[in-house]
Amino acid sequence: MSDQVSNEMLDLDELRAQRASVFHRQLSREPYDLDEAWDFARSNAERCGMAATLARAKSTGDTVAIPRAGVAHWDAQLELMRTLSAAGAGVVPITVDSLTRSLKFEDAAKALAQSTPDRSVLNGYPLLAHGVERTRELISSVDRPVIVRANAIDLRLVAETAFASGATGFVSGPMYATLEYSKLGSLEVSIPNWQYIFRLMGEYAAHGVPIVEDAIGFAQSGTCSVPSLMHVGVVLDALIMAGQGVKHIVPYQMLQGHVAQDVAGCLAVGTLTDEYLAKLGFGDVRTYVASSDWNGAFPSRQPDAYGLLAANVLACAIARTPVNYVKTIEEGIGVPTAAANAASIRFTRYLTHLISRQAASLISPEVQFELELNLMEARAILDAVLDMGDGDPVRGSISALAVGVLDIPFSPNVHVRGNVLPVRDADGAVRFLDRGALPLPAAALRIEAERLASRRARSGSGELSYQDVIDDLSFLEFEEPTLPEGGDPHS
Amino acid sequence: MVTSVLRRIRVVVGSIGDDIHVVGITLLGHALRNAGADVIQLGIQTSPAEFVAAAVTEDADAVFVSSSNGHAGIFCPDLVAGLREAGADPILYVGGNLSVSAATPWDEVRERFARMGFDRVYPPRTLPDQAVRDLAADLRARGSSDLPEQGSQNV
Repeated sequence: MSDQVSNEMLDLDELRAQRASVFHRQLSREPYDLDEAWDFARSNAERCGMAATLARAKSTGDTVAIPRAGVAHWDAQLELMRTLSAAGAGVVPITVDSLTRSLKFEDAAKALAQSTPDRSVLNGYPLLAHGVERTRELISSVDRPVIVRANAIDLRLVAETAFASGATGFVSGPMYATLEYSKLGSLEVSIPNWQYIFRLMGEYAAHGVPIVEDAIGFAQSGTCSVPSLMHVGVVLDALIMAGQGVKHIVPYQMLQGHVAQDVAGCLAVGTLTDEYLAKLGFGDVRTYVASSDWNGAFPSRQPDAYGLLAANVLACAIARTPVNYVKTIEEGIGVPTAAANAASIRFTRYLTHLISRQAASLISPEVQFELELNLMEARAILDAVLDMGDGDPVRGSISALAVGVLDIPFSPNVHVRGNVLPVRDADGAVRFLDRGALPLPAAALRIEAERLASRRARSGSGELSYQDVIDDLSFLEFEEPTLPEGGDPHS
Repeated sequence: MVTSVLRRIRVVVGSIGDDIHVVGITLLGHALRNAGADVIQLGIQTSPAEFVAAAVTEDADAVFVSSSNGHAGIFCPDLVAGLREAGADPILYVGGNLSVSAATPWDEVRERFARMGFDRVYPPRTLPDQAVRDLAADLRARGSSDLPEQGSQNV
C-alpha cells in the first residue's frame, strides 16, 4: 500500500492483514471465515438479492419502495420486517443502533439485554450483539432482500457482520459519513476505512454475492442544498466504491419539494454517476438511482405530510427512479409506528403506479432547464476536483476540500470550509446564495442570480438575508398548528 | 455581501459541550466573515477547554457561543473560568436556546449568563446581523479598535 491515500485498489494481502488487525482490536477475535460466509451469502443472494430486485425494477420502469426501520429485540425486528414486507416494501431494512455504529459493542449488548419485544432501549438493531448466526436466521426468515443501514466513519465490523449474515445492501460512503456526520474525522482517515468495506464488497461480488451500496454523497440532513452540489458528493463516493471493486451502486437524490428540480436531480445524478464511472474506467458498474424523501423538517399534521410525500413521489415517478426511500406520515412527530410506515409505503406505491406511466408527458421544459444547469455545475466542480488529484478522486477530494473547491453548507465537520449557503428562489427551487470558492462557470452563476431575482424583489430591501435562509428551514411546513393547551397538534 | 465593518477583528465561534446544532453557528460565522472578521469556526460540540485554547492562541477579540440544546449553562462556567485563568479577556457573547425548559422566563436566563460573565446574552431567533452590529459597538466602546462609525451595513 502506498503511504498516500489514493483510489488504487487495496491489495488482497493488505485487506487480509487489515481484517486480522481490526477484528483483533475491536472484537478480540479472528476474522470471519470468508469461504464459509460466501457459501451462505451466495445461496441467500440467489434466494433474495437486492441487486436482482433493483435490476428488475430498472428494466421494467418500476420503483422499489424501501423504508427505514430498526429495533433492538430480535423478535420485534423480525415482526417489523415482516410487517414492512407485507405492506409492499421491495427491500426491507435493518437500521443499526448508534452505540454499535460508534463501536460501543458491549454497551449495545447491555442495552439489548434491557430491551423487550415491546420496548427497545436502542434506536436500532445491535448487529454485533446479535451476531452472524442470529442475524442469518433473521434474514432467512423474510421474503425480501435486506439492506443494513448505518452511518459512521468506521463501519468495518458492521459491514463484515452484515455481509456474512446475508445483507445484500449497505449504505453510505466517505463523503456522507465524514463530511455530513462527523465533527473531527478527516477524509484521509475515513476513506481507508471505507475502502476496506468496498474492497470486501468487491470480494463478495467476485465470489458470486453482488452487494448494493448506496452513494448518498452530500445529501443534507435537516436543510436543503443545491442539487448539483449533492451530485458531486454522490459521484465522488461512487468512484471510490468502484475503485475497490463495488459493482452495484445506488446514486441518491434527496427530494426537496420543488418537483421540476427534483425530477432533474434524479435524472442528472444518474447521468453524472454513469458518465464519471465510465470516464475513470468503471463502465461495468451498474447503477440504480434512488430518490429519497425530504430529509428536513416534516409537517406534523398527517394530511400535510401526505402532501409532502405526494410531491416527492410525483418527482420520483416522473423520473422513474428504480428506488424510492420512503419516509412516513409520522416523520414530523417521531419514530413511526408500523401502521404509519405501512400506509406511507402503500401511498408511495399507489402514486408511482399511477404517475409513472405518464412520466414522459410530464418532463417539462423547466425539468430540462434544471437538468442542464445541474449537469453544467456538477461537471465543473467534479472536473476541478479530479484535476486537483491528477485524475484520482481520492487525492482530488482531499486537496479540493482543503481549499474550498469542494465545500458544502451546514457541515458539522471542521475540515469543511463551510462557505457555501443555499437559499430557495421564489418558486422553491434551491440556488446558491453564497458559492464560496466552488468553481462554478460564469454562465451558471448568471442563471443562479437571475433565478434569485424574484425572491430578492419580494423582500423589502431587495436583498436576501440570513432570515431568508432561516425561513427556508421550515419551507415544507405550512400553517403549523397553534392549538390551545391539551389539544392534539397532530390531528 | 462583504463589507469591512469588522476588518482584522478575530472572532471565535462554536456550539458548546454536547450540542450538535450546526445551523446557528454556520449562519453566525457567515455574517461575521461577510462583515470582514477573521472567523475561527470551532463547530459543534466544542469543549470549554477548546474554546479557551482557541481564544488564547488565536488572540481573539471576541468569543461567540451559540447553543440550542439547553445545556449551555452546564458548560459555560468552565469557559469563563478558563479564560480568566489564562488571562484572556475577549468580549463574550452567548445566544440561542439557553434553558432546557421553554417555560423559564427570559430575564432569568439572561441574568444567569450575565452573572457568569457574558457581555451579551441573546434570546432564540436573534438574527446574526444583530451580533455584527453589537460587536462593532462593543469594540468601539472598549476603544480597542479603529473601526469605522456604525452605518447601515449591508450584511
